[in-house]
Amino acid sequence: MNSRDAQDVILRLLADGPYRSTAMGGRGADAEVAAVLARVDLPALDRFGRFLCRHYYRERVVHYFKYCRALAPLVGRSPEAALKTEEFKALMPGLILGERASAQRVLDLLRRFLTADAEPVRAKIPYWDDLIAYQGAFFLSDAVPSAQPLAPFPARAETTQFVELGFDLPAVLPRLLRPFEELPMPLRTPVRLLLARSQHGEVTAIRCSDTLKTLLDSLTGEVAPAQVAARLGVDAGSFERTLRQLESLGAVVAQESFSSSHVGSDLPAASAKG
Amino acid sequence: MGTDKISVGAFYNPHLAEEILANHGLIEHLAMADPPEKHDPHFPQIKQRFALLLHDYIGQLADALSPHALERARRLADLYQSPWVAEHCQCVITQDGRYNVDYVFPPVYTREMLARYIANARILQESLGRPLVLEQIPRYFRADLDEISEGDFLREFFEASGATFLLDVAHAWLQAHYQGKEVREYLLSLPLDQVTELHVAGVTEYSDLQGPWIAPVEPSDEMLDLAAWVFERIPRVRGVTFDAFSTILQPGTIPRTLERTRRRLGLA
Repeated sequence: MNSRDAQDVILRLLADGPYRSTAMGGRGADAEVAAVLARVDLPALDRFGRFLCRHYYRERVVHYFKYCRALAPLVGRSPEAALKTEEFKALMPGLILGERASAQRVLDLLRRFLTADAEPVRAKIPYWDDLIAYQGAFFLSDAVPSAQPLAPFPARAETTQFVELGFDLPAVLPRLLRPFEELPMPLRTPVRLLLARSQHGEVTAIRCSDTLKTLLDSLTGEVAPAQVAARLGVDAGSFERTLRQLESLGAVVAQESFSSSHVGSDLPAASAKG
Repeated sequence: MGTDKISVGAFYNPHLAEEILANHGLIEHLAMADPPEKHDPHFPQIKQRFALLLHDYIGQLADALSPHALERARRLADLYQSPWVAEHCQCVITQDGRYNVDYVFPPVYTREMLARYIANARILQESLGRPLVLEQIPRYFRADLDEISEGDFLREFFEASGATFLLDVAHAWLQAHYQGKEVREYLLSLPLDQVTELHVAGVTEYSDLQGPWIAPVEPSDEMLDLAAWVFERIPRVRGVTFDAFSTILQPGTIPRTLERTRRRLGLA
């Protein structure tokens, strides 16, 4: 094992709670990994791993749940306080930084924390649950996806999420971050958002029409784009342009990129970064 | 930023933009840890009034930088007109990309790692057309995997790559603390003659660590004394920056810290 590989062993010990627990117990390491472990202060590494874990999720909660944070004086709870609970402490040894399943477990905890006994909060902020759903979708999109097996034809990315809301949240979100006397109220109307994660980790949200959802649901990876276009009754040229845009956002994956260059964000609907 | 005057600055914290703008003069430059938000109403004025330093995550020099990372860095450096670009002496992502601690963490100090850092730093500087400064990172726990000392690693890196040193005083204090060394003696083991930028910062106690660590807080008087001591030993320094970037940073912290720093370093 060279020193770069040894560094990787240490990085995995820090990022992967279950792997670290196993190593701390002196189990399961091959000879080369055991040689690295023998030269590291494992109890101190474990403390640093826990510190990193709390820091990692705190950064993401602060960033993605910024609207809940802005409303904390009104509701009496800050989302990042969930990371100081015994429940999170118990969760930490099982978490792998960046892993989607771990992010889902932390998100479940956050939801429980933010919605427990929340009737008075909902009375003040009727769109509280929508807000949590919206921010939670971004939080989850941040996690690194597992490698999606490539299908023969363009397919909807596993990381693509649809978020169904009862309020037109995107219209009021920026106002929540500015001082206000009266709580900004979005229109009560069904809104569907599409969240996509690009290969570089950029997460984009756009309003998603029924047509766009049908298109994405049709992209199973088993059917050629021309056939999908014909089935949907869409002009092949505009269908391909839409596919290119969706690919650039990360909503669609293809075995061989069908776009020679990534196009700009000229999707017809408004887009918003979380 | 001129070559004959030492500039004093802080990190751009967008939630404190109005305060930062109001303290132009006291604050001469801003380090940019994140790209400006698309709708940041203050950034045009910020860009106009302050010298900006690229201090974002560019990539880890332990591995080849992707074309995407280089292009992103070039775009930001051009936007800021950054006189130099900063990266950390860190290695935080595994080679397969599967594990990422997403936090500063130093490499093991070996010849192999040194060669990787030198090669990739040369490519980065050539690609950006700007010099690199490298910030040292403390190690919290013992890992007996080094072949050379941190000081020798940095010295050889700067000599071979042409990059220079971004010395963080709080990082140095923590490194000495966790290695059980006297901090001034430790500082003298570093290539102080290569320092272009100096970071001053605070530390705070963390229960997870059962001890102090990096934090977006004001430096203590002891830390500023240490900064003043090292300031006299870094003849090529061009910038002094209060290193605090966080949404929890309170109004008043940056101006107060810069006033204290200027007074203590004789830059008032």
